[in-house]
Amino acid sequence: MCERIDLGKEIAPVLSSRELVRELEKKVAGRKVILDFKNVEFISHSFAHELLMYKLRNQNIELVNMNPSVAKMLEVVEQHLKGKKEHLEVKIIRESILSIIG
Amino acid sequence: MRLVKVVDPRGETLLDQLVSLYLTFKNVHGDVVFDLSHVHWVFPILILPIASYIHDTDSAFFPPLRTEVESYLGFVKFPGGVSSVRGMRRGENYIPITLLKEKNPVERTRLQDEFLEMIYKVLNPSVEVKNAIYYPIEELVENIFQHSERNEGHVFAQYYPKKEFLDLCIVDRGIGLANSYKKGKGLDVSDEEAIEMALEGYSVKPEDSRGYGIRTSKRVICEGLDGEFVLISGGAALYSSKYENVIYDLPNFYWGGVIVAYRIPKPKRPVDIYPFLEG
Repeated sequence: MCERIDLGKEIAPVLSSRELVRELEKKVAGRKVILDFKNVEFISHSFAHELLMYKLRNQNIELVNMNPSVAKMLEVVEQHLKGKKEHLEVKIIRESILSIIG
Repeated sequence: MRLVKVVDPRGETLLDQLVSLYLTFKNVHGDVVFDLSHVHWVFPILILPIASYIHDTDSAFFPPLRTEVESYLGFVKFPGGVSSVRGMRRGENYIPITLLKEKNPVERTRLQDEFLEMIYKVLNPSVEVKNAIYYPIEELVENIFQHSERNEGHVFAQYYPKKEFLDLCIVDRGIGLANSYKKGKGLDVSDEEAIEMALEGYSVKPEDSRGYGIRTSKRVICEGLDGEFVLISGGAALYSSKYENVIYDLPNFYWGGVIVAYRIPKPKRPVDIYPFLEG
């Protein structure tokens, strides 16, 4: 039977740091592991990105019990990993701060 | 040490706070004494950079003469703040200035979670907006640890129940955006150009699948939550709302690192963050 890590209980319900994934990677060390999201409320884009990059390197990890929000974040980031990024032009006005100091 | 008069904002808009921060920090270098004695009130965008500057240098401060302002600074634990979950729990109605350190990522995550929970508790929205509140804080704080080359940063928030808005500020004393593009990509860009690149989603890292943090956080804040967003790095500042993006040149001012501040009204409708992440 493979090891199961309850991320919400063992770490926290909101996961955002890339460093957490690197810590997990050290802990798992190539073994077959189930990462259980049942107690995870939300993950950041950064965490999802680092996790999916790790999963690409290590097919032995399985992600289970994601809530719709966590699943959606993983889906969005997976698309970012697959597709070519568009750099949308942002309309910007340039001024000196002195122009708004009375 | 040189005395630096902390300039009272002329009004309470986020732009007024930006001007007050600019006038306070203009020509400030090295160790100084911040003179808060005449301030009538303090907002996160002003008080957090001062706390961070004091933490980073051997600077000091003269407390406000107004007792309510002095008491408030005590409640929010100015200037040292809290750096542990235990310290965070003590400040019940006020969210204390919080110092996040990367020493232990699990500990940092738990402290950040406490900060998020406190914000959500004081905001007490009647609609489901947890993801929209959490997302920008988590992404913008993560930027500190990924790009600033400092292993610590400050966060602070204040909710104004009568005015029904939340002010939040995130500060680091790292290398700033322009230096990040220089180090990460070898690009020589000005502070203004660096802010523009961050807004357009150009990563400072080699991977093209990164660089979403500032662009998407700003969109969630301005378009999703109807808020206003300020980002300062080096000698330039961005002010964004759902209507405009303005980059201000800040003469005789240099913030080594990044200051992000934003204001959001109490949410009245649910916000789906994912369209802002996909687009």
